[in-house]
Amino acid sequence: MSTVMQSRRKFIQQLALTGSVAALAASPWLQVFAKDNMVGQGANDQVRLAIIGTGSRGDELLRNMIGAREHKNFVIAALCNNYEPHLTNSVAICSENGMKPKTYSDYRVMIEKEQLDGVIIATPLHEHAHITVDCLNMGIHVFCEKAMARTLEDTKLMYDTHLSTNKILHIGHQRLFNPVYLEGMQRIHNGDLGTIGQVRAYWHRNNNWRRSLPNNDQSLERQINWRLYNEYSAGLLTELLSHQIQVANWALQQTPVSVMGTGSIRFWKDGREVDDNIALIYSYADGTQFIYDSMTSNKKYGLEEQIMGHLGTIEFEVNRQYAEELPVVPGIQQLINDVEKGIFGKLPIGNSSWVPETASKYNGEPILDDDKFSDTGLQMEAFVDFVRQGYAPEQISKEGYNGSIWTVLGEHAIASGQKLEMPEIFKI
Amino acid sequence: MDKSIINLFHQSAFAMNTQLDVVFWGKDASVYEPAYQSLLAEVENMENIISRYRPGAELYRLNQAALMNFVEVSETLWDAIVQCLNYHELTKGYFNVALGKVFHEIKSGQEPQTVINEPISKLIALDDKYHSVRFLHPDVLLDFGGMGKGMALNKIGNIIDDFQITNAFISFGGSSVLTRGSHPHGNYWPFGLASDDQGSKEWRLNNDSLSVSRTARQHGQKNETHIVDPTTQQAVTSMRTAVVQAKNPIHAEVLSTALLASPTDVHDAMVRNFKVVNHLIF
Repeated sequence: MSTVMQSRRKFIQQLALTGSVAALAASPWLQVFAKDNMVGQGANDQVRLAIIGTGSRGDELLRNMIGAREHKNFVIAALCNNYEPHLTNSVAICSENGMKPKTYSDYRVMIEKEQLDGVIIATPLHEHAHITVDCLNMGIHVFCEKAMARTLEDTKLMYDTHLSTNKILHIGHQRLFNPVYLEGMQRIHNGDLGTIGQVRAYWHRNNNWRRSLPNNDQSLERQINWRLYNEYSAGLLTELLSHQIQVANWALQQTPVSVMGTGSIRFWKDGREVDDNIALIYSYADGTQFIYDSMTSNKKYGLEEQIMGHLGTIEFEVNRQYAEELPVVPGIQQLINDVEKGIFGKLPIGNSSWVPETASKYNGEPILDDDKFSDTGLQMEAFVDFVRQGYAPEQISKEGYNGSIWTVLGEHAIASGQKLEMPEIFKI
Repeated sequence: MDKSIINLFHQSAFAMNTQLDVVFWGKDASVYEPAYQSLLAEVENMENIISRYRPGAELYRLNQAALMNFVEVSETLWDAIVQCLNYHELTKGYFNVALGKVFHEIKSGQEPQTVINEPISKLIALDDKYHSVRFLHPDVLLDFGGMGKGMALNKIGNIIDDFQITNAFISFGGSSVLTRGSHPHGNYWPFGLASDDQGSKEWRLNNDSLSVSRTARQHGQKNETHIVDPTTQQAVTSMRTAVVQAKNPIHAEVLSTALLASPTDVHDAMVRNFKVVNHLIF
């Protein structure tokens, strides 16, 4: 395991062991890192996993897991993809790393034949629900990439199946395992930012989501470019917003009560169906607003989640915290006091303590000094540990559910032009 | 004096990598906020010109480009560079803005790799007609760290005067100070150094500036070297403090830096080249 990963695990372990009550209540999945994890190396201790959907994200998850397989004692027993070139690619990655998983083009055959403890689902969005439900019903724990599903109904179905089967449903929001976010959330939940009034997030890119088709084979258009079609994807909402509304809900420790929004295809007018430009406002019961926008024709501002309270601000993506007010330095405080009391006294200057340690917080200080790590890697290690112990904190499923369900409702708000509340049947 | 007449105003901001404190009194409150916002905007403007760290700042870009060609610069930056060359003369070479790379290596605790043996006239070429600058040595890096706050205070003073605020105390980090008028309960601004052996001395400021420089500052358990002698390109290791009171805040900054960088035997001649109200080195 790399030194960086070791230090990040140590940090999270430390947070799990010594974090505040508020912090651990908000992030109970940390507990899996609290143990020293002496994982048995025998075959009986080995966790058997499979990856379903080995496209770009599936391969990224695979690469993130490769380095951990020995000390975590798991095996990628099988890979499944109905698009053969992607499957071949993933097999090559495994082969380079001394792994020889079985391969399947039909996940149903795979989960029947293989003795699996868990699966990692990284297929196109519209396939998440049925694959997840089938795996859970087979007694297999599931890690499923975000967003959970294409529709409100399917999202709820996945969650309900998780409850009825009592199997793990872990949704791929890697920020839940990101040390900067964990530390920042601890500070937020401890009240360091004061009363949060607004969360603002955005994700701006300048790129064409359309991928080229092998041999310009148009019959592959909807399979390769599924993200561009409403049948399979809600575009910017399910691909990007879903991450950031999860962060907002986690910070505020509540889910919204309503959403309104608007969207358009402003630039990429190439026949795609999903908007390339969206803006939404989610309102919370206590009056907090989550303001969101995303676009794919300008990247100047990149991405960010800004948590704004009356005492300070956190910007997670740049790993910074800012104080609203500089504390009054002793010399100035003395001046103010002297003026009040009619005293004509010398003001002390020229001392380095004039600049308080916290002055830098005004201009922003790092939440963590070292932010080089792989949150995806930590997330996948946690999934393996959850599978080994046979359960995961319920909150981790709820974070995924709430992020996803409100994402899809946001799509409905945009389509209807109305401010929408969550229908009762989808509340958990 | 009655509090309602005093009408004290105080605001803080983070600027030029330190805390900026602004105190006004004696004016109608409606004047304070516009004056404060104006001076903040001017400080931000200065940083966008003279910061060598801020990507996009004019000096930052000049440092990137001036080795290859003459680079035309703004009026403000041109004046600053010309003034610095003059200060270099007035301080007998103990104030040198061209050695930013050397200073950075020494201050960051590295073993210095860069040595520049040429005089400053051989390091920078100026084209007076087009106000353009070119570096003549690959290791030249302009750094206004020794006078930047003085330049900002100078601009702030002009703004305060424009707003007819006659009583003010402006401080960058408690080390670079500008005053107008007096303390509410006296007829000057009284300052004392926050150190044990010099705390009793009173510095009386009326419409002047004070600059306090130290050869090193404590950062945690370490002393960070702060002053480099440009003539030897070595850090000044003895712990000393220089305090300069002058009408011109830029002069106060330049001189407090140069006094620490130089041996004692050149101090009198150096001080005579500036209009100084008072100075002390200990």
